[in-house]
Amino acid sequence: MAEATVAAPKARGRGRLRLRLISVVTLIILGAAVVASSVITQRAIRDQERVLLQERTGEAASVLGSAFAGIQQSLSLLGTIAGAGQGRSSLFASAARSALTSSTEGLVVTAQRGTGMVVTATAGDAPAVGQVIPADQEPLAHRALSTTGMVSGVLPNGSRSWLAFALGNAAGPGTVVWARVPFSAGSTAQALTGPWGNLNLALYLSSRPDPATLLVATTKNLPLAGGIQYPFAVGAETWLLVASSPSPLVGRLAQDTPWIILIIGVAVAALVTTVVEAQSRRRDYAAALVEERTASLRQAVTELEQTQAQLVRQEKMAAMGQLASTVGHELRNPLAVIMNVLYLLETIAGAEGSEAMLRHLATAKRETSAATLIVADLLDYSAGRTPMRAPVQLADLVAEALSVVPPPAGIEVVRHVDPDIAIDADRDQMRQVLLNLITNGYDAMPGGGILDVSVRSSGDSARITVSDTGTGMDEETQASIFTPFFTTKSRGVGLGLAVTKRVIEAHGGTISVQSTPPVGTSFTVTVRVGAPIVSVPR
Amino acid sequence: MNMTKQPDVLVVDDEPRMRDTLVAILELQGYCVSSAPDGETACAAVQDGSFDVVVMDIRMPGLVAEASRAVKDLSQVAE
Repeated sequence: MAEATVAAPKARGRGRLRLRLISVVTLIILGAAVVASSVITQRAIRDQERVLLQERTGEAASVLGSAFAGIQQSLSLLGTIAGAGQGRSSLFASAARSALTSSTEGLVVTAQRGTGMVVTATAGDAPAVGQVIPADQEPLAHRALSTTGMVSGVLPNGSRSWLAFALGNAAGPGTVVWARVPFSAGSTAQALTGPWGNLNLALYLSSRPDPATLLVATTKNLPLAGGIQYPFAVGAETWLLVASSPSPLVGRLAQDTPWIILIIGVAVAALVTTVVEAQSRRRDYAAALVEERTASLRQAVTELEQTQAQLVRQEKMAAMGQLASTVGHELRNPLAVIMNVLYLLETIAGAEGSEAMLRHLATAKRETSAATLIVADLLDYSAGRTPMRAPVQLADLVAEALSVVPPPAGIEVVRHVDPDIAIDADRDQMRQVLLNLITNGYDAMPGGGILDVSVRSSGDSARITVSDTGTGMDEETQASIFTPFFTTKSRGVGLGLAVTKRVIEAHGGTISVQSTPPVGTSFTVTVRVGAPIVSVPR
Repeated sequence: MNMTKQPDVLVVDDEPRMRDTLVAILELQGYCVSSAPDGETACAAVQDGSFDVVVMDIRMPGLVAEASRAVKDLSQVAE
């Protein structure tokens, strides 16, 4: 458990540099929403800006248009007066005086006389009556005469220019009424004041922004980039007003709104993503922690169960050992007495005893011997003593064991024994081990076979192998053969291999079994040469 | 040791039935057999009498070590 707490969940280290999918998705969605909002707002503000500019341009154009409409009305009225006056220029002059403004320099009435145009009435700074107008003004006059409604044009006037308005046939056929406004040629580049003071304006005497027809502009940067073109009627002609706005009409704050939305949005998106990421990591961490704790808990429970099972097993073994000891000691002497009595009876009966009696006595002796062997096993198992070591020549020991338990009929013993191997061991115990393995091998071959006993050296160990060609054992049996009181034999208490294993382990060695049904079984004992003594656990 | 006479045998065992059957078997073989139920009695018998053979259970209550030593001494004298 403690280890599990220290070894923090794997999730903690994972993805420290990389965002989780859910965070990435959140960031993308929020980012897209923020950018879209910003773009839409920007578009809306730009549209608003354009609408405002259009409105302002329209207003300016309509003011200009009505001003020029006023001029046309004045010219029409003055023409009527001049026509009614029939050459009395004084009447025209007095009427024209009221029409003269600070910007209008002069008003003139001309009439066709032969090939030229002759002044018939005048007011303000204008040519005298009877004077022929210069030839460069005649195209405008002809245009006025051929057009219904006022025409306009720029006329040279030394270094300066006039903007001339002309209304044809106003004072009778062939007459033209003129108004002249002086102005500096080209753009004045002077900013307007008043309601349109925040606009850049350019006025053209045609319906297209042709630099040749530019009348006036408030800036030298022409043509106006991104300007609104607003055509409007001046008499019979169409002029063009172009306007742009150097500073936003919607206001600086409105202009900056998309950026404000973008910055705040990005900050919010980053914050939300951070929270999502943190929550996700926390959840993963918690899940991993729970998983790990659960696993370690499960492991602890398993270990506990194993320990408990082992304790129960050990307790059972201890109780069985106690039982074996008691039973062994209690039965040993009675069996010895019975053996003695059987011997006595056999001897007393001697030659006089009937054959049946002697046969029965022999049976009783044989069965008593078998019981004595079982008791010996029980005592061996319960007595388990620490090995008393001395050098043991294994070849001699094998020969001795085979002479004690010679092979029954039908079984052949084959020896592959290295004659020079000696180990440091308890001779009696090792002899018991060999006897157990050899008799087990015999028992496994009721129908006969070959028992192979081999002793070889393997590194610093001696390896004793006892193989039979018997029936073999299944996996389950192999797993249990070293367990005390486990037996597959009809006679026996199942202690032989348990005792054998304990003896080998007390010698610091190992014993293993390999069995292939129905080929046979092979037991391998490995004991280190000169292995240290291991005290026997009771 | 008298070669014509059968050897004298002392059987020492605390288990009466074991002792009796051993005595019976040895007598059947023609030995002159005495018996003792514990180590003390065995010590006294070995020192008093002259036994050629002692058959003794070594896991028995009462002076087993002493009896063993007495038997060993006897065997050295006999040699």
